[in-house]
Amino acid sequence: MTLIMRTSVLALVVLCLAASVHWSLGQWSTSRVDLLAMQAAQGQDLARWQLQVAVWADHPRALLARGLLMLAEQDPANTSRGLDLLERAARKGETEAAMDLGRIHFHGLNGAAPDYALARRWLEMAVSRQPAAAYYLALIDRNGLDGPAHPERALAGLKQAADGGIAEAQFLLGNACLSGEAGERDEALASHYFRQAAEQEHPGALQALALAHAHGELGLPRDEAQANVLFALAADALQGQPRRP
Amino acid sequence: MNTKPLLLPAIIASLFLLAGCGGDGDSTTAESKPTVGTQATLALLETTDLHANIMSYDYFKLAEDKSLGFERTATLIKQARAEFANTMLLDNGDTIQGTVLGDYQAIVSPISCDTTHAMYKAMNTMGYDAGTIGNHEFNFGLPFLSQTSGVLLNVDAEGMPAKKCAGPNFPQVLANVNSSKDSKPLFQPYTIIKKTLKATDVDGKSVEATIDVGVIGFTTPPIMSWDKRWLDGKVYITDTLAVAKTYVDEMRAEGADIVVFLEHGGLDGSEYSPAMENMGYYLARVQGVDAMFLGHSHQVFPNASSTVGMFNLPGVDKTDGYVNGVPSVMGSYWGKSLGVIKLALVYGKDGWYVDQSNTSMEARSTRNSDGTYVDVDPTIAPLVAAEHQDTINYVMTPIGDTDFRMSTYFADVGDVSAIEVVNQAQAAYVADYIQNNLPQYSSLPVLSVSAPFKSGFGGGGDYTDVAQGDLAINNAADLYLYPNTVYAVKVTGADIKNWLETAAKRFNQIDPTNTEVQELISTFPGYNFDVFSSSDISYQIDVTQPVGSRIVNLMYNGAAMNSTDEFVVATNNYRASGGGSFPGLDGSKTIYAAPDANRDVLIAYIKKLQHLTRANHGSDRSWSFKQVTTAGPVVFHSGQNKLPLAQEAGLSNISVYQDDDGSGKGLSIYQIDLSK
Repeated sequence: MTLIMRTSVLALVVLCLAASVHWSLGQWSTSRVDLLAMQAAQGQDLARWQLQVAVWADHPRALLARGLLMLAEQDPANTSRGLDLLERAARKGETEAAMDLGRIHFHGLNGAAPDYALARRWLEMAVSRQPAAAYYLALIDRNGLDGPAHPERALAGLKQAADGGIAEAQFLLGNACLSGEAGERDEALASHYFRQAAEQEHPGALQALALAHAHGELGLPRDEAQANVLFALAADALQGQPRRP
Repeated sequence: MNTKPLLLPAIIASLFLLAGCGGDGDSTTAESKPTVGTQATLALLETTDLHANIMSYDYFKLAEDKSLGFERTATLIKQARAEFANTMLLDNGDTIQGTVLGDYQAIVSPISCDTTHAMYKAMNTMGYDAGTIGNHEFNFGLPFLSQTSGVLLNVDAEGMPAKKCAGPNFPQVLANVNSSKDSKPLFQPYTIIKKTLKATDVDGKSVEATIDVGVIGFTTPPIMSWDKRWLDGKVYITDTLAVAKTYVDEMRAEGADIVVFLEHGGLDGSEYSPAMENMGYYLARVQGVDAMFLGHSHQVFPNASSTVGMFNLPGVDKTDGYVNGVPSVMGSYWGKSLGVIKLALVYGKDGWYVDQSNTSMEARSTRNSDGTYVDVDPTIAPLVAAEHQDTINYVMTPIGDTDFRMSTYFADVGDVSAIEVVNQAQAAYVADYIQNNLPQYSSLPVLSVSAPFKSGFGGGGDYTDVAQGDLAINNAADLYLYPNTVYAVKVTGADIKNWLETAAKRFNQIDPTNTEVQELISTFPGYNFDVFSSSDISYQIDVTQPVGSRIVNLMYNGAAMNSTDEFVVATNNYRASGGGSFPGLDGSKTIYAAPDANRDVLIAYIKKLQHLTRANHGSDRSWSFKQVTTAGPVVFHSGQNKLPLAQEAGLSNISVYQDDDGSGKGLSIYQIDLSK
């Protein structure tokens, strides 16, 4: 027993030393930490330890990765520690961590009620670098989830998110161009946004274009064959887990 | 070009070379060893994302669909083989899943160990050189993958085949997925294929020469979350770029003259992460790759007019088909296209190399420029005739029956015969999920909305119409037309009112004093006319009021619905994520995004109930028009000779106003008496 323990301690010390050396050499790039995170998530103990060493060294990306791993375990005992790691990462400038926190509080973690005020705080920290943050902020503004609704600010946010490549925002803007929410009905602009989102395999946008082709809407020619192709692509895009921006 | 020295492999390789030169055993290779300057063209042919589309056939519509199917891709393959003296045929994954036939062979009536999957039967006859494993190959679990691929996968999973089963007659390569059991690649990571080329030497003489082609495959890392239930703890994803580098060196050391990547993925220019879905952009930077097949994204590459983001990244030549300098193609999906990389090869003093100035890429479509499609290759259909027919029989097998005709001819005026069972199936599914998984919402009532998807746009035949009697899977596809998944949203009474106000845009504003004929139905699409159909909820639509003020007497369980009351409403992904611009439905209210299709939920519901009756599944009208006496007739259009259906649905205020509406589309004009 003691031998095993000694060996483990020794191994750990060696590992830490090696890791610190590695760390000091500045080798811990984002992709390196991401690799460790992926390996740790897949149950590889060595990677888990290496990641932990990086967490001790306060590496922002490692804080984020470790925090997400803890939250993924869905163990209530670890939830606050996971969130704490994400917050530390976010405060160190890791905007993805701020984005994750915004998303978590927007949806509510593990069945908890959403906290839109808290979500807004983190999303605002992320929004300069994360277009998805603009999307979530727009949803808050659009629906008045944190104070009164701000339709114009919501539209601007959706536009920012859409320009940043967020398919969900592109889809919403396309619909807004049709409903009058974004000013006078503009079918050409709507189909432009739908196409952008469809290129990212957004099922709703593929369906919107399919419906338009099936019925000759949005200035598109009525083309049943094209509609069928788009419906089938929408079906395909719905395979697997729905994605959140 | 990246010129990082790769010393060790280079040394090893040179040792082998020296040994080869010094030995006396290379007289056999000398025969086929070309002289320097010998040239050859090798066409690499790609199928990708076939998704079990063998026949040009739509199993839900039970009708031919010429736009897809391997039986037409096979024609393109044969044409390419006639055109090029040297070809290699390679498949880029997502091969066995994606049609009813695929589901039939995997789930409904799983094929036995000694039966080759229908898709592979068709592919085997075409003579593939190699293939890789797409993300969807993992959908049916590791035992089925092991069985259908004919590869004994070394993993600890229940139900793994004990012996090698019938599979493709070509090697399948996959480099970035390892077994957790032995930490070794799940499949062989690569293969080196020796090919005899018809070549031309410097004197213009036709000669034969051999080339060793290394082929390696990669799949999308997110399989670990997409198919977590099958894969967690059993396999793991490696660092794709790192293994690519290692194996390319290995292949080169083993004598590969050129290296081809089968990347089951597209391109993503964001910072490299080993977990990223689409690795092609970074894989193209691996030193030593000569050609790359892309896939997974269902796109066509090269394509000069593509606006797709990934093909407009720096370093991507979408006109000629290069990704960071590497000849690349993506051959669409479902057999619609064949990717072709015409590699110009030159034999130099160090062996074969690619002459990019004479290399070209294209994705050849089965669709001709005049809109017709290439003919089917007649050898394919007979190979899978039994499987094709079994699938059709399965789709037509009764799953239950109905004692009433389910149609949408009068859905605009209140008939719910084709809608109620959809709402019931959705509500039951969501309620069940909430009870078991979302206790925080278990006290909320679960309601459901759906719309009449077909409402006569294309004429009198363009309505949902399922006959009384047996119900089969294709009938369920008629009842739920669109490819949606079930979504549940948490809303308030105020949200429900707004929802219904938007749906009520289906109607024009009626002026009761107008003595002229007034059309009831507006241009607002029928597929957005969401209705409830349950005895719990009732409301009236006052068409004399402007849009936004039409929903009156909205009641839940006999009492006025309070604007702050909370409900869960079952709907679909399109609506819940913002389709049709229903106020507040923009993704923010979704509490459950189910993996299951509304259509499949309906099928399961009918299977469970077995017998549908009008009393229980086709007559709960939640809504009616608010009564108003109009000075002139109010009319709408629907299929000819359908009045009895309105009467059977209990709509006694409908009459035929004009037998033929003059559109030439088989429609009548019906009058509705809004005072009744």
